[in-house]
Amino acid sequence: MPESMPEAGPAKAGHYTDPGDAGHIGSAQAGHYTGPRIAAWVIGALTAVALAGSVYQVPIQVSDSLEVIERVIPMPSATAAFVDGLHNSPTMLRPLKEVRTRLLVQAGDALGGRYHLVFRGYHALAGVMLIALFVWVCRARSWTDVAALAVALAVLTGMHTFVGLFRESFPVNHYLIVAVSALATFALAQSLPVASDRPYASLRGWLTDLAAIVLLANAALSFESGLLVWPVAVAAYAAGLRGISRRGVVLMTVVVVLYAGLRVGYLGKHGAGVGERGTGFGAGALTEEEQIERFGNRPLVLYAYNVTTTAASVLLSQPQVGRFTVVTAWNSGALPPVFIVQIASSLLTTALIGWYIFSRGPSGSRRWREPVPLTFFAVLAVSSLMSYAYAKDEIVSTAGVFYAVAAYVAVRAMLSLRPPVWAGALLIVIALAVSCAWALRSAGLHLRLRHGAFEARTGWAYVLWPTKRNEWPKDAHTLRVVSKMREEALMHPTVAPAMLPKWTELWWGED
Amino acid sequence: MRRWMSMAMSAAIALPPIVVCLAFAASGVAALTTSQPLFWPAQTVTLTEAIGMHDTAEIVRQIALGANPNIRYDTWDILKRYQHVSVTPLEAAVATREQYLFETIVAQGGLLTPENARTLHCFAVQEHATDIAAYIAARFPPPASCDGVQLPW
Repeated sequence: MPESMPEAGPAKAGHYTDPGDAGHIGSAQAGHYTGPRIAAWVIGALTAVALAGSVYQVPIQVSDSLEVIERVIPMPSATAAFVDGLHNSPTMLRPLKEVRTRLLVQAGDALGGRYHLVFRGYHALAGVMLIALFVWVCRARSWTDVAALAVALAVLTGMHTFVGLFRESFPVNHYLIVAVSALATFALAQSLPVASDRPYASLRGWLTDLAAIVLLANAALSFESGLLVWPVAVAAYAAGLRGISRRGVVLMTVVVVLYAGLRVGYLGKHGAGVGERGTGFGAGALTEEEQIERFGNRPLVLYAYNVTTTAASVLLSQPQVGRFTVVTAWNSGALPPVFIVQIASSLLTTALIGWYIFSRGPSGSRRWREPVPLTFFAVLAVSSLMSYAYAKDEIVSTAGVFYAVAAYVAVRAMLSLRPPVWAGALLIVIALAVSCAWALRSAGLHLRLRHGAFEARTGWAYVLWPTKRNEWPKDAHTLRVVSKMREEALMHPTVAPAMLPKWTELWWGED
Repeated sequence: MRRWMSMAMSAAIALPPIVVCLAFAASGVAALTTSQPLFWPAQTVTLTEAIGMHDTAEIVRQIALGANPNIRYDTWDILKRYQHVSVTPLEAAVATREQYLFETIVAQGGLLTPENARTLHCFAVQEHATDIAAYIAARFPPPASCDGVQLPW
């Protein structure tokens, strides 16, 4: 088995290159890496199929979703949907949500009323794209890289923040758009700058920059957290990646400034404040009224709590949604194994990442300056700040994705160590335990998606209620679309949580 | 790392996720091709079992497909632990003590008549389903006594 790829250091001041990339190796070496590359893509494909299969089982959601669908159908055009999205909320600016919903409904119409295929197929495909981008970004080149990738994919799909990308939709999950856009931006940043003597070098550079700008604009106009694409590009550039040029980063900054001007200056939207919605606090939760009562005069205390606990949630799997659920479970008696599995696997993985970022690379420089750790820090910091008003796992879902990438580089580095035999044996035992824990957590994703499918399907039982005909859509086309969506959701049985064995609750937690 | 140790470490890291990945990929293929996954697929249940599991969507589906909401169905291990019981959908809803389920059955064609109201009211009182007892009492006068009324259990 070949050794792991050597870690890369800056080839020249401020310019990070990875010698594992095909652009830096001869064709003979490139051929040598074919087996591991294929294996990496096969593991990625298996993960993607597993994810797509479970995601496609979840019906279109009713809450926070049907209202949007019913609103956009009668609109005369996609432009009208966009304009409506600009003005329909004092706090939210998500015009592309309306446009995307309208386009998906139209696609469903064009396919003869197959709305489940279109809406859920969209999410399944987006999941496949996320996994593909993850495999691409990890760039496995050796068999040890492939081993690291296998566990990193389990970290990605096993993170408690990952399920939020797929379980709910509004009717399209905008957190998923943000995660895909952020990872795609990092992949663009990783691409090698084209040598100036190559044909169309300037054009290709411009196209890469343009793609990054489009990703940012698309994500930001879909959901506020889409602005996370910008720190990804900035951090990657600061770490030495030059796939997105300085010109590209500057233009992305201009887009962020324009967005802020549009949002605050032109549309007059404001951010969330204390008591915007319920949030976890300590071992319990605070209602909107309780937040105002306790923190109305000192909101910074609540904001600081939300920001720090949200960041801790990614690193330690606790608290979740601002609540130290482990304390509640401990106080109520026996601690279910789900907490031990989650906290222990996160603690050890975070410790490994910590060891990696504070160690030095072959060039002698600290590894925290490398693209993956620096970008992970940037995404974690910014997304935690975005969670200032209330804690929500989904807000840090993109940070969870980059946590998995950081786990990949850390595991890869660990596999290149040369410890004494006794320490190596101990490491193997610990690695096996952590790997089993993440594999178990990864399986839990599918269970949670079954729960999500049950909930979403149940929501349709109350739509078009026979005794409330006055609440049915008045527009004939809207009624036809809603009827078909309802039929598709209800006619596809899902497992009821009450039918699931009790041990699933012990190992994967209560829903 | 020594070669054997490197291989053992790589295997320890990679094997558990790959096993889970393979299993759920097979489940995913089954879900996409046969519409049900291998792990945690939907199970066939009777109408009253669906009521016992609070599965409103399944209730609506079965009635829409022709299930009669006014006849008895077998119910295993849901309303009564490890026991078969034969109950009507309205009786099953009473056993759950959930008024919304009772109303769902009524809205979907379950008949609340002077004939079954007495039994259902007495059953609701026995099962401490006070909301449902009040719902029935608002429509039919509650019986003076439940003596002699045949209850599901």
